[in-house]
Amino acid sequence: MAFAAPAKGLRADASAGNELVSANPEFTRDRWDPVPGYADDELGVSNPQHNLAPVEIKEPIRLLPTARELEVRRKLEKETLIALQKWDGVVLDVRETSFVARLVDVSGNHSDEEVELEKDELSPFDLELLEPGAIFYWTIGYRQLLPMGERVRESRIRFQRLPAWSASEIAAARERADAAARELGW
Amino acid sequence: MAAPIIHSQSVVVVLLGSFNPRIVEPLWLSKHSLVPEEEASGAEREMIDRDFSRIVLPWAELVVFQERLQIDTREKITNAAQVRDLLVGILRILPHTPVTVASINHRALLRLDTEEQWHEVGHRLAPKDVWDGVLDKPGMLDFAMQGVRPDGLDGAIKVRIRPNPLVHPGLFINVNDEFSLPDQNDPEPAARAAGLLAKSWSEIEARADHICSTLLKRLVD
Amino acid sequence: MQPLANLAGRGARLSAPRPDELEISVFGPGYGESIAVHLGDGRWMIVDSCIDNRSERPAALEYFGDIDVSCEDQVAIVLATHWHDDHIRGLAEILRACSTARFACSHAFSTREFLLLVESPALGTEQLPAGLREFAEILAILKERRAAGNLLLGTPELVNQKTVLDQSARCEVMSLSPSSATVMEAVQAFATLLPEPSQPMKCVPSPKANEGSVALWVCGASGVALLGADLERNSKDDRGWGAVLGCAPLMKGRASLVKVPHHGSSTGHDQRMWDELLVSQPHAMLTPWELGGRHVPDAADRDRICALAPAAVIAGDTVAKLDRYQPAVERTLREATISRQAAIGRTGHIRARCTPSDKGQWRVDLIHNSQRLCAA
Repeated sequence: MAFAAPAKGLRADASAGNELVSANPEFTRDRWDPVPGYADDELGVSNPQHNLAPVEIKEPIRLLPTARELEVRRKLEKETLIALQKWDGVVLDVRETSFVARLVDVSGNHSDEEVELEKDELSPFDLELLEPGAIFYWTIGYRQLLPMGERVRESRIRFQRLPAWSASEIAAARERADAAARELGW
Repeated sequence: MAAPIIHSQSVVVVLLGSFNPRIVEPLWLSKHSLVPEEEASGAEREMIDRDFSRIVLPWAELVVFQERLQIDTREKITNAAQVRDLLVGILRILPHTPVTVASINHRALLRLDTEEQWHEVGHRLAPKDVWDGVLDKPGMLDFAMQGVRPDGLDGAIKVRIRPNPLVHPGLFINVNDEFSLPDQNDPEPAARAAGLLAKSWSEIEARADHICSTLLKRLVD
Repeated sequence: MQPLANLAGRGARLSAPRPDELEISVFGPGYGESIAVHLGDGRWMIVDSCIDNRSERPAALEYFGDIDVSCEDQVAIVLATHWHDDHIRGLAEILRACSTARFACSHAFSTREFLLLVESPALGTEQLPAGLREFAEILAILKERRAAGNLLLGTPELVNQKTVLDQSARCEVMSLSPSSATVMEAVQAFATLLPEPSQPMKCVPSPKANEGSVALWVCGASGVALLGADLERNSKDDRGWGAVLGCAPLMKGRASLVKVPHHGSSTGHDQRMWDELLVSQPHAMLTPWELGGRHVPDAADRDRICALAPAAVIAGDTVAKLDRYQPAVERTLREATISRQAAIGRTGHIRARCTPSDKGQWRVDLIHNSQRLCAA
């Protein structure tokens, strides 16, 4: 046998969602295991050749989750998205009911395209961001109920959201521009 | 034999530093244009004293401890650029926040075509002849490797592969790209971290894709 | 008028021009449009950059490889007349390869406003096409040259109206734009794009007009050519083609070859240009352009150009084959998009050459993926 079967004594109690308490405090369980819940997850092995201690993905240990927490966990872990194609897009032109955009394949395996899309393809909260130069992400894939449930094809466009420029960021850019001008003798 | 199928994917980013869990809450995120107002008002929020805050958005979970900030897509989205934007946005809004380490994890759960293929992966990663006469029916529980970073930053690239009973025959792969932020005396460490993350994000993602696809090709073919 | 040779396909043997032969080679569309000018005696100028859709390299560099021109030694000037995405992608690569070339650009790009645009890229736009990023790379190359002690090659030449870019026994190249009024307009346009506190970060959009457009007058013993760039008609005579006509006394003779401005669009057409700067029925070259289903030159543009230049030729086309995706993705694209086209068309190349003995009659060759614009 190449892979180990789950050890006996591992409690797989899907309904309670309790944290698994093991006799071995080093033992960790990943959320990918059938029991929904959170766990410490060691990443990598500490290496004396570099100073960086492994960073864990962790949650606070609780003995009993709240009912709300259980509901949230179940909702989050019920489905997944498998991406078939991802583009970064930039809006080139906005028309009355549509917009034109350049699509750049994230994987780099396909050439750039220019597409015209209906504004209806956008989420209402993204419409306010639609203007030339706006960046968006377009993912086409399947949404699937875990573990073996219904599968639905999905197309999702989401506009990039970045916070506003800060005064210090602009000041830093001005300093760089001034330095460039001085360098060039302008 | 058919190629493995991606059952689900997620991205988990952990930043180590010094954070204030009380600040990062849904309306703060929408006030700074990081999430739409509609998402912020519908978000689940949980706070425990000053030590821990969790926000559940439709596409990710944001957890803040005093010493770390963690974003987990929980298999909900596959365009990690949203995670990058949220992280970079938070760091830009709080430029003086100490940030010392960034750890970016690309995780995938894969279903292999046959159990034979699954066993073959285990045999290739962890040959069993070493265990003859030592253990009965030895099986690989967990496998991790580490490589040096190509960019000179202090840190490592780590890959972890394990069987996973959620899907059978299944494999879980985690590619962890971890580095410490240079120049700890920077007066705006979070701003600098934001720039570094924004600049290297695509490269990190491409590296994780390359590692996964190359390993799978070698293990499964 | 000389018949057009059709040397379509890279299999055709290409050779470098003679020392006394003036050459204007137009590449497009690809990403952008580019022109290579042989100034005489093996010296060249490259204007803007066009990425060849097949090689994904700057088309001018590919051509120089085909005709054994040394980029390191034989390119005297690299001129940037655009700053937005599609027209200068690859220009930094050209400048790096042409290590002894001076860099020249529209005076509009020397302003603090433009430099601030270059120095303030929006985070998260690194993967998207960006002319400003190309410019940042160009400035970095110039800085390296200066650091290496080469001040001449490390300082951009700023081009205004009536700047003499190059002058030799064979040929003189003079810029006809931008006028001072256009530069002022450009500065104001850049200022509107600058980051402001409390304004969200975003990718700088491609402008509707090209304020930095540099039209060129190439005057040689062999012939005269007018390269119209993206210059457009303007209601005010201190900018656009009106301002150019103010330079007319400086231009010796009339041009017998024209690179039609602004892809042959109606906004690029100023009848005075044809009446006062060109001979009757000149040779005309242009490249097409398309955005979201709007195509130039359209049918009316073609009719207008063909009436003025029956031998007009057009390089490349905007119709390139789309990549195929997985069936589920293709289905979604069909459902979700109104129209879809490859962003980069099929690059074409038209070459026009003229020697003193040709007496102003250009030999126009359809080197690759190019054709007559007008019905025979």
